[in-house]
Amino acid sequence: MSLLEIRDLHISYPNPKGEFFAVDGVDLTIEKGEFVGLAGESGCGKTTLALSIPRLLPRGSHIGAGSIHFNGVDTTALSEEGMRALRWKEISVVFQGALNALNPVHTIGSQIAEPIRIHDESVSKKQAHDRTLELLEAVGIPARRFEDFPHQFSGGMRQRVMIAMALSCMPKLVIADEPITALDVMTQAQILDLLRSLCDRYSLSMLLISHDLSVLAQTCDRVAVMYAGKMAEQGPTSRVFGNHGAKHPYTQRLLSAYPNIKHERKFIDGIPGYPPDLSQEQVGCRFADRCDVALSRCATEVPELIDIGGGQSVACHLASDIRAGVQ
Amino acid sequence: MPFLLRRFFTLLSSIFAIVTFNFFLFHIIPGDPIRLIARTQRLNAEAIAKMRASFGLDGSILSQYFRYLSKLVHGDLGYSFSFKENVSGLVGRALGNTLLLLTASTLIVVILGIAIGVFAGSRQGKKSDTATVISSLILWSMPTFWVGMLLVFTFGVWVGGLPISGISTANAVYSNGFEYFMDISRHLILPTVTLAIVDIAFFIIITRTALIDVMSEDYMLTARGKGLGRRAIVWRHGFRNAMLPVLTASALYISALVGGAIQVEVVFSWPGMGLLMYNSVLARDYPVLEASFLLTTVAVLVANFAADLLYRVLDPRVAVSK
Repeated sequence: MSLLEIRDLHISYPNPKGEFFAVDGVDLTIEKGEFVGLAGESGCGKTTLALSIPRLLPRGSHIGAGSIHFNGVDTTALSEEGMRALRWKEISVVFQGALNALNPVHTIGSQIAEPIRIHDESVSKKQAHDRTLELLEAVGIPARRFEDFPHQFSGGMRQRVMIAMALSCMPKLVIADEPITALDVMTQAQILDLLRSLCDRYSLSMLLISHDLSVLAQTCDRVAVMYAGKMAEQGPTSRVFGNHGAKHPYTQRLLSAYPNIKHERKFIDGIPGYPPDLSQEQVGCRFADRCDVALSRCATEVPELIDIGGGQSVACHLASDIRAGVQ
Repeated sequence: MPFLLRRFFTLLSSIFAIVTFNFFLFHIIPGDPIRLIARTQRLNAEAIAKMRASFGLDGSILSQYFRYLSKLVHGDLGYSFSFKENVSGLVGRALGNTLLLLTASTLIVVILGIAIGVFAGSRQGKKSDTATVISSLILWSMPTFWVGMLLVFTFGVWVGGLPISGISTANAVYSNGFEYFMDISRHLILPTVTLAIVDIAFFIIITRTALIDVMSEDYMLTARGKGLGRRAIVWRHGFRNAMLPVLTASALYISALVGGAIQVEVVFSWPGMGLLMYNSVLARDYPVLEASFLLTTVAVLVANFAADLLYRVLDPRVAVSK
């Protein structure tokens, strides 16, 4: 049994024109102890997908179809009370922008300790306090800063606080939503190392969201690439990001849009055009308009996500044609 | 604590500036109070000069100012033209009555207003919230004196049962202190309700808006993500942050209270500062007005000073930035 199994998930938001289909039939699996990266441009549904797991989506959002099985339990069927018991105890989140994600009027110590006693009433105040000090030490913050407030920390330190907080109940799954985006490059590397080593040490699973492919390549066992509310491609990092491993034209263009420090300088070509408007119903492949190898059927037929072997799956007619040709 | 000292010094210098402004304001106004009192041509120059001296109106305006300052420091607020008694005694009695009224209504306004505001704000968009907002807007748009007159009419003419005027029953003889207390309490009800009913709407709306603002902050999502219950999310994480703008509004509210108190006291003949100011304006009783203005402005300044201090307790970010 996988730790997390998302099947055919549909999530929509109401908007003035009707509905905005942010996530439109997405599958995602995370095994115990696995680090999965989720990539894609802004607005492709990464955060919506991730926050649907602990059911922290904004009011009005609607899970239309599909299921989310966490540890064998369908969380979409859970009551609010049942979901509350899972939050942080089993699934915690490292939010983007830790300044805003920490409450400005409470000390960082009390914020880290808070969920411990909520989820386990047998823990004494003293034990929660000691546990918090351990966590602070683990993320490299001196214990004397327990009583300090978030605004007294630098951006990187705040993100460390956030990580300590995410680990306070030793959850099974940590969702890290762009955890290093607002930080400088040196701090990014430190925080990423810290997150990776802590999750390894406590054998937690992690879903790491980033639009920075190099971050995912460095950290994750497996990566999933989303485009316009759908999964474009997923597979082991070594395959998808390896030489000629990416099969979806979007992933390929995304990868070629990154400069390579070892190769000669070249002009970075972006991907012309814009993603489609998700409040409209989509026909065909969503990437077809921007794709330079699109076939005529791409405009009419939605490509299924198909397994192309080696744990990799791609939602592209080209890839399925190649596979059909091979067989 | 250097901050406290600095802030206290600002408070004192503001009070001094207001004392000065107040003094010149009333002395620059055209019209001679002595002539108003004398009202006759038959007084000789000597008598007028004597009267002038007894009211402290002789000598140049600057010497009058310094005399006023030195008297003020000694707690002497002058002598009332129309009530023919010391202003300090007059104001002292009125101030006590006003404080009684304002304390009663402010307690109701702040406690109930904030509680209802949190109730509505944490249920944004639901029917109970909409109902609260609409009734608050209706209450807030009612003029205080009008509400007072409605209540006077209702309890004075139709229903009865509650005293509609004064602070205690005229010529009543009380057998014990408790009876006296009950009599004052009964007189207190209608003015307090009048003052509270309009102002409570202000606090409900301010608190509701502040809480709704806070509810959309990222740290509220964190609180939800931690698995906290609704109550803990609202009170532990939202409330304290929402109280920051409410505190600022409260300090401003103190100054708005003065206006409300004048209206209510006049409508209900409550013998407080408002009624005293009203009567003094009618009688051009400058010493009383001067003293009342002074007290009011000092009250507003002190309220702001207190809000500043409280702000530092509530918001750790303010405490660090000097």
